Amino acid sequence: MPAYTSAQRVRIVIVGAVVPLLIAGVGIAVMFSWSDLPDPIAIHWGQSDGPNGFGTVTELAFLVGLTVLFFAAIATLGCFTMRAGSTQSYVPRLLVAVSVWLSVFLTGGIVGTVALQRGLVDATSAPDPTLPLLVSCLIALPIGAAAWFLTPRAATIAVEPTDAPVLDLGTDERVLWQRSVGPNAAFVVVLVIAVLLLMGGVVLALLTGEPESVPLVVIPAIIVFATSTTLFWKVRVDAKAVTTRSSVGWPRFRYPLSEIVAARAVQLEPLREFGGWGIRVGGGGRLGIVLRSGEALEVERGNGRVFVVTVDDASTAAALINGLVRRAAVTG
Amino acid sequence: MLIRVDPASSIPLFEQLAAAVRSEVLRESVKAGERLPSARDLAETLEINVHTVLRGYQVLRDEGLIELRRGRGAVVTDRAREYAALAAVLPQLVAEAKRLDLSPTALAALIREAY
Repeated sequence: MPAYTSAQRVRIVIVGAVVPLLIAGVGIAVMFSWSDLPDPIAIHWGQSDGPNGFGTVTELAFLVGLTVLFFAAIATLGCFTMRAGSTQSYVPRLLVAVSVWLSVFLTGGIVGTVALQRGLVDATSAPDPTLPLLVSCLIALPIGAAAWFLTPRAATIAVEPTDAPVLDLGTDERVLWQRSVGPNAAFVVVLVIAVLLLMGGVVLALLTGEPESVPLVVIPAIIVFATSTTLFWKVRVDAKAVTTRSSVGWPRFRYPLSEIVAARAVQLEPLREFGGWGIRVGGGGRLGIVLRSGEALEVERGNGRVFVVTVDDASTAAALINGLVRRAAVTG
Repeated sequence: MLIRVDPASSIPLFEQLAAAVRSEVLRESVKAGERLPSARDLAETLEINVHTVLRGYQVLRDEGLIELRRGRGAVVTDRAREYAALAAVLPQLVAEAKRLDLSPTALAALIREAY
């Protein structure tokens, strides 16, 4: 069942997409209406010594328009593809609020920056843009908050608690369950494209040869490394513990059987329950290794903490864990 | 992949191990090209002798279901795909035996005779 009715969807489109695009559109139109601007105008400032980048109103219009359009599309698509779940999710309201906040902040900040240059003959004397950016950021906050509350809550459905399966184990029976997990092919394709774009950007930065480009090489390298270590995992259940380990060995999440109360197979929805993919903390401090939507193994620990990992054949793993927990309780 | 072995059973451990892997292939929980746990890892986890594990793996290798390669461990061969047809008829066979109140041993005896 989708999280939103068609009436609610209309409202989401109006608040999360139409309003931000209108704000950006009005801002762009206002900028183009000014005839007393220097040509070119200042569009970038250095640390202390005035503007160091110059361009046209058209460039700024593209920057504002495309950014706002991008976030409006994410907010709308994110809400539309969401399905009703058993718990309430903050994600749709956040997506819409960010879309609106960003459009006010970006449009206000840039229009303000350009407005300060009206009447100037030469843009090198353009005043510092900190003030308009700060003011528009502050103005955008309550408007974003209003958008949050104007966004309808996603529908919830009551989920019947399924009887947790229990595997019947002999007193001396030895067991091992293990399974590899990875993201689906589409995700990997998107990631590879992202990495290629990133590398293209790095090459471009290096060609320009500025000293500031060093972090441009180091930071993407760290991101790529961190992402690749958390893409492929191995989940393992044996008589001692439930272990979820990255294919490179670290990070690793190991829960001794003595700490575990129960396990079950659940259907997981990354965006709604965890706000995305990867190593995530969801509602109620639920820790998740979230690589795709669908079947997942959920482990409840004695301290009330819940761990969940998306993995195929989770029902077998859950039954085995429950069998091991029960056997340990019987034999003491 | 779930592997269960029970030292209390009358069936030898290496045969139990081979049967466990085979049944995981049947229910497509293990697929062609997949690597099985190393013999040492499996022996440690299941608290059985490493030679017992290797013997179980050898049974599967002789059957053509896995390949044993130095350094690469035990890898499931393409033959795993051919087990699909068997996986399809097995539940029918068991259901029919259950309908007739035949015990697993009785059904196994019938199969053995039919060979």
